[in-house]
Parts: sequence; structure tokens; C-alpha cells
Amino acid sequence: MKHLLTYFIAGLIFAMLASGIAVQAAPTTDPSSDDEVVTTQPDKPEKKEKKKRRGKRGRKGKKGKGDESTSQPSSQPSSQTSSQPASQPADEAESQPASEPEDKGPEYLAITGGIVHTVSGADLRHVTILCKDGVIEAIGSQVDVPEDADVLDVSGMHIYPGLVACEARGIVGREPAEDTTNVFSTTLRLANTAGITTVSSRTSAAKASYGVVENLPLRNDLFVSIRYGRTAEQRELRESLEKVRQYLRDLEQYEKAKAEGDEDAEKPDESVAKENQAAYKLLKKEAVALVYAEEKTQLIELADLATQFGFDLVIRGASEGWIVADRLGRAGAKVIVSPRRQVGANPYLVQESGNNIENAAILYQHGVDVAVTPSSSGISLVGLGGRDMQHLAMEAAYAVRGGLPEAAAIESVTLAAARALGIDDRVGSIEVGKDADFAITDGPLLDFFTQVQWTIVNGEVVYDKAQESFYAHIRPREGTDEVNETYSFWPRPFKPKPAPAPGEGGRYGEGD
Amino acid sequence: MSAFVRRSWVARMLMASLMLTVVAQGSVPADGDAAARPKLAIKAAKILTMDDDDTVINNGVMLIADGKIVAVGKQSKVDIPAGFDVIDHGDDWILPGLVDCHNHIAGSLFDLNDGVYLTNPGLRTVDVVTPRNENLENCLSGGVTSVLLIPGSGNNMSGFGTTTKTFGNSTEEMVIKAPGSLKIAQAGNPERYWYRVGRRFMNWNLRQTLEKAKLYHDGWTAYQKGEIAEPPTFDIVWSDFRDLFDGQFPVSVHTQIYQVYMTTITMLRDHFGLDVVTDHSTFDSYKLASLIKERDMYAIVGPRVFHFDSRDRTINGCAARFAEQGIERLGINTDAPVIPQEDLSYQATMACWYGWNDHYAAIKGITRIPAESLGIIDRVGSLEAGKDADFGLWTGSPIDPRSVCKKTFVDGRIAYDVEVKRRTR
Repeated sequence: MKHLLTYFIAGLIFAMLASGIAVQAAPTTDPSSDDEVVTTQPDKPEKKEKKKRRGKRGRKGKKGKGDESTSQPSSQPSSQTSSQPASQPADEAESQPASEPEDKGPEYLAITGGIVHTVSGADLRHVTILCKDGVIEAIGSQVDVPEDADVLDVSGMHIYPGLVACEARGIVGREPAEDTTNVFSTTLRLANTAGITTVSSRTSAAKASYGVVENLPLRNDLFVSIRYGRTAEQRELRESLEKVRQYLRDLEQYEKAKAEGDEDAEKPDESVAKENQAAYKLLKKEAVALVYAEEKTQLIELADLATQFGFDLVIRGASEGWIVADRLGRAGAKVIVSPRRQVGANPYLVQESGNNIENAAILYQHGVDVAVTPSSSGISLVGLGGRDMQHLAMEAAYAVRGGLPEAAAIESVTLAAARALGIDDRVGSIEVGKDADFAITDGPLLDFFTQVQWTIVNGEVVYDKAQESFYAHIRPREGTDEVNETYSFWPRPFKPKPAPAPGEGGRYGEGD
Repeated sequence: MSAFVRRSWVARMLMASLMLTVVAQGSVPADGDAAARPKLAIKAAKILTMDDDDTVINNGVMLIADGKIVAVGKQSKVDIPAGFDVIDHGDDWILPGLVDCHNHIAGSLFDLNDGVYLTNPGLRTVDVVTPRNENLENCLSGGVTSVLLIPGSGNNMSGFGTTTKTFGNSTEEMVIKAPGSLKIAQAGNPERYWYRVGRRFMNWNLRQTLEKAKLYHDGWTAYQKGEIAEPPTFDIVWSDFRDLFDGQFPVSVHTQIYQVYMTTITMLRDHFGLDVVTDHSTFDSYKLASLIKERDMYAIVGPRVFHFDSRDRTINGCAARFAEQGIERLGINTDAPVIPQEDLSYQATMACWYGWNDHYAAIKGITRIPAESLGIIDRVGSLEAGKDADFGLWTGSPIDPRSVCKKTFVDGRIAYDVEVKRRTR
């Protein structure tokens, strides 16, 4: 894996050096470029590299990303639209720099059929989702699908936005994710089988796409991790916040005075901001505070602090949040909870304590943005199923058991999770302009017979259940050849004797 | 100073005695009190009786009195006699109390393994049943009403399990059958005993122990039949094994992995002729499903729910693989506290997710099947007239993680009520 990654990076550097024009021509038109500041620019040269790599992988016959254009009968849907001139895409193609001969234009993926659960709005039926270069270009029943688009027919399926796994471990690497992630790891593969397309680990968010390195990091520096537990920590943070608040007020005064023409105005000391980076970022709303807190006292303190200083707060844990939900709601806090997590009540307290199955529901009722993540944050093959990221959707179903509305539960693993991470401008719902990340399931997401059939990340099919031996044999998809021949090495090589009557001796019996 | 201490000591004694009185009066209702075991007629949208005919009653009513079920049937067909309080549970489902045949939390958890010897025959878990412990109170919120409390798997043979209710004020009230099983552990955990014993030794060790027990049993049987004049010497180590060889209760075996599973079947079932309940049944033991089927044995799967087969790179639901090979006596367990006891239904959920496509069979696997396997089906595991009034009122199928168990009844008494005591489930 390491070698592959190294070769790839080397190739990337070489390609960038060789074609300087490509780098110059990087800022091309992009539908999402308005709200996209950081990530689009370096994408384009990588795009070219991706093409190359993909071809290479195809020659090798490496399994992983099923080529949907061959496996799907694309002729029928595209023939309907072939007569129509695809004017818009053509313009886009022309705007591409001519110096990229192998880049034949934008990549299209059209997903037809299925019930679209947009999460941000109504559920849609009989619509086509057109994705262009990894971004949702259009959603509607009258979408012009370009001739060269890959078409994925998912009739009878449910299309959800790709699930967002908050606080995951061992799926993608730490910052910088593009260097530390093993994109061929089994865990990453399993994350895709669970419909997970975005993973946050510590302070960064990245895409989870098996076998694809491009466009992997989504956003770094999502959070400022603060500690607000022990008295010393509390004093330190509070002092730091107060200093910065004073500084910001002084700065405002100074700028106001300067604008009014006051020459004697004294500029406040800038070192305050530098010395108290975390507090500065928080108060300038450049970052969100992420705090691990479970107990109600701590939660109240945090809510008060956030209200007093006016910064955005995300609380991980919050198992006693249901007791102080109103305070958290007023503070505008977001929470990342694990509904199944069990925290025993403190037997020495008369007041309520410990977790409650209704935690998520009560928090939601009080206006707290609820994201759900399992308390076991990785994916394990040990066999104790249903407790980790593999069953993120089931964790949300547990919140429903506690009274959370189903729509809110679906949101809690998609859009609300994205909001908690501050990446809801890119992922979390099915909307035009957002990333083309989907989890396409064979039933309602929260149903326990439901499995993910396709996972699409950045407009590419990274998981097709029928093409992957893990789950292909479980309730195989209709119309697909079951790839995995169950028990290909079975029956056993010997025939056991017929069962003797109880007590009449077997292997250890008389004369045996 | 000394006066203060003395005064405070007196005050403390007073407080303590006061509290004792409160506890004695408050939390322990007199046994057999009519108010504690009311006559009830409970109406519900669906009653899954889990009886032999797999009867499912829509718009049903269930009559309970004196801790027993009096009648179950359609609301239009069952007359509610005078003296029965009617509770209408509208859209809810009534299910038999869930049964788990692998539990450690009905004891205190400090008495799991008495690792004195590699085999410790004769020990009984009935000695350590701990009524109303916190784990039991939690487990009621998951609708679990009967469990097999077994010792840990740190020894090859760690003593006799106890089938017990999960609710009651005393061991006498709770226990259904003691001994309820003989716990045997093959491979895995006992390998950690002292100098790391291997599987050959453990199998020999089990055989020699059971052979001795069988000798003892045969001796007494011969005496009782009058074949020998002198009674054999009483031996407390082997006395409980007499009921085992008489088929009064099964062996519950911690067994998993193909080869170990095979030994369980060939040694315990074929050679010794014992009723065997295979706990765990995980890893690749599903490959021996045909052997289980030939012998009509019970396969109880858990706490692992899937097995990753690295040879063909598949993820296999253990229960699913058994089911697709025609095993009908298929149940689910938790091995609480490995999986919290209240998650028994979720274990079945997972079995379904991983390919056990029979929803109803999965419910059966956490009610009737474990009760049958433990030989307590005459009292629990299904809803039929004459059986114990152990049941849960659910908002839907227990397999669906979105369903809640709203009330749990044990012996006709409310053991858990979501409105009174809101807990983690």
C-alpha cells in the first residue's frame, strides 16, 4: 500500500512539473466555486492524474471500484436523451484547457430511479440525479443526461446522502489525511459498505472512498479542542477568553476611532491574539469548540461559557444532556451522542443522573442539533456486531427508540452530523452544488434488514454490494449474479456417520 | 470531643435503624400478596404466543391471575370474567418474556470463576443468585425475564447453572430450576488456566471427569434397581450429576470453532448421551450444522454474531448460516455482561441483519427455543394458559431496534414500567 501511495505521489509531482500549464489553468469554472474557497484549486491537476491511475488499475484488473458503465445497461436511459443537445455540458467541456489531451471533459454520473431522501427537503421520486465531476449538478425529472454519462439505475432503492461518521477512528488517518490514510484498508472498505462517505477524526474531516486518494481531505482544523473540566483548566480558558474579548473590543474601538480620524488612537497589543490562538479563533468564529463532556454540571458550565462569550460549541458525549437539555438548547450547542452508550446513574445522587435512551430525543426537542455516532468508533471484524461504525444507521434507530423522530434520526447521521463538523456546505444532504456522495440502500435506512447496495463518493461508485464478496451473499440483489459462491470449499471432505442414539457410544464408545 | 462523637454515633445508629425499617417496609412487598399479583386482562393489538402452532393473535386479550396465564385469545372470543382489571394496551404487542441461556449477571459477577482446579464439578450458581442487582434491573427494561445463570468459562467444567427469573425478592422466588445446566467450557478461555493447557488435555480432562460422574450415577442406578445390595458411598462432588445423566437438565457448553464444536457433539452428545446446548456456536462452527441437524440439537448463537471468513473473504452471520442449512432449533444468546442482557433482542436484530431472513424465527430464537433447550418450556417461553405470566409489552417487534419494551411482567407482577423507571433502553 505504501508503495502504491509513494508511486502515486511521485507521479503527481512529476505530472505537475511536466505540465506547468495545467497548474496555471487550474482555476476553471466549477458550479460549487462560489462557496468553495480552499479545496477546488488544487483539485484540477489531480483530476488528470486520477484518469491515468484509473486506466492503469483497469489494465491490472484490480477489483475495487466496479466500472458502472459496463455493468449497467446504460443504453436505454441515455438513448432517451441522446437526441437532445447537451448544451450546458458542452460549454463546460470547451472551457477546459486544451493542454490536457487525455482529459476528455467532465465526468458525469446519472443516478436514475429510486426514492431520493434529500434530508434537507422532501423525499423525491422519479427523479434523476446528475453528478458532474463529483458534484451534484442537477436533480429533477427533466434532467438532460449527457451521452457520455455513466448511468446507474437504482429503481426500487432508496438514495440517501452519504453517511457522515463523526469521531471515527481507524477509518481514515489523521491530518493530513491524504498522506496517512490507507485507502485499501479493510476498515475503509467496511465503512463504505455501511454507506459512510465522510469521516471525521479528531479535528479533520475526510472522504472515505476505497481505493481513491484524490479529493480525500475534506477540511482540516474543524475544531478547537478545549478542556473545561478541572478548575485550573476552567480558569485558564476563561482568562484566555476574557483577554481576547477585551482585545477584540479594543480593536473595534481603535478601528472606529481611526475611521473617525482620531490620530492618537492606540492600537491594541496584537500579541494577545497570538498567545491565545484557540480563544481568538473561537471568538472570531473561525473555529468551533469541541469538548468531551458527559456530566450535567460540566455541560451547564460549558453552555454558560458559550453563551457568555458567544462561541460555537460542539459537545461529544453528553450522556447526561437530557437533564440539562434546555440550557444546551439556549446556548445553541450541537451534540454528538451515542444513544446506546450506557452510563450508570450515580447511586449517591438524589437528582437524575446517568444516560437515558431518550437523550437524543429530549435534546432534539430543546433545539439542540443532534448528531449520532456509535460509542465504539472504529470498525471491528471480531464478530460482536452492531456496536460500531458498521451499524451507524442502527445507532440512529436506537435514538428513534428513545423518541427521536425518524427524519431527525436520519438527519443525525447525515446533515446534522455534517453541521456539527461544519462541513454541511459540502456534504450531508442531496442538493445541487453539494458533493455527489450517496448511500443507496435496498430499504429504509433505519430498518434492520436494510443493507447498502452502492456507495458513491465524489461521483464515483466506490462500493457495489454485488461486486464485493463481504455481503454479496446476504439477501443478494435481484438481477445480479451472486459473485460469491457460498461454500465453494464446502461440503466437508468426509461424510459423518449417522447419529447414534444418545448414550450408545460415538467416537469414544465401545468397539469404536 | 468525645461527647460529640458519641452523640453522632447514636444519631447514626438511629438513622440506620430507621432506614432499615423503611427498606423493609418499602421495597419488599409481602410474597403472595394479592395486590402484587393482580388479576388482569391485558388487551393488545398483537399477541405473539410462540406456541406449537405459532399462533399470532391480532386484537387479542390475555388474562392473568396469581402469576399464571389464565387465557389467551381474540378479544371477540375471550370473555373477561368479573374481578379482572382491564388494561388496554392499544397498538402494543405482547410477547413472551425473553429467555437467555447464557447469562452471568444474575449473580454478583464476583463469583464468575472459581479456578481452583481445571474442572470444578459440584459447584452451584444457585448459591450466588443476587436478586434485584443493578444488571438485572437493567435487563428487565429489555423484556428479558428468564435466564440461565452459569459460571464463567475459565475452567473446563465450572459447575452447575441455574435457570432463574430476572425479577423477584429472593432466590426462592426467582429460581426455576437448580441445577439448570452443567457448564462446560471447551477451548478458548480455559486455555489460560495455569500453564496453558491445550485442547487434547482439556478433552481428556472432561472425559475423565464425566466418566467418573457416570460411574457414580450408574452405581446408584444399579442400587435403586436392586441390582446391588449396598448403596454406593455418597459423594457431594458427583451427586448433582445424577440428574444430568437422567436427562433432567442439559449441558451448556461454551464451544466455538469447527474442531471444538465437533468434539462437543461427538463427545458430549454421542458418547455420553447428554442433552447438549451449544452456547456461542460462533466462528466457523456453522460448518457443522448438518451434524446438529441429524441429532436435533439446539444451536444457540452468541455473543458474536458474525464470522469473517478470510478464505473466501465473506462476512457470515453465524445464525444465518445455521438457518440456511435447515437448523430450526436455533437461538440467540448474549453472554451478559459481554453483551448487556437487555440487548438480547438486538442480538437477534443483528442475526437478521447478517442474513437470518426469517424475522419470526428470530423472535422464536429469543423466546421459545432457549426455553425449550433448557427444559423450562413448561413454564416460560410462550404464552399459553397455565404458564407463568412472564411477558413484555412492546411497541412493535422486539427485533426492530426502534421498538420499546414498555412494561415487563414477571410472575404476573410488573417488574419494569417505562413510565415509572426510565432506563437506558
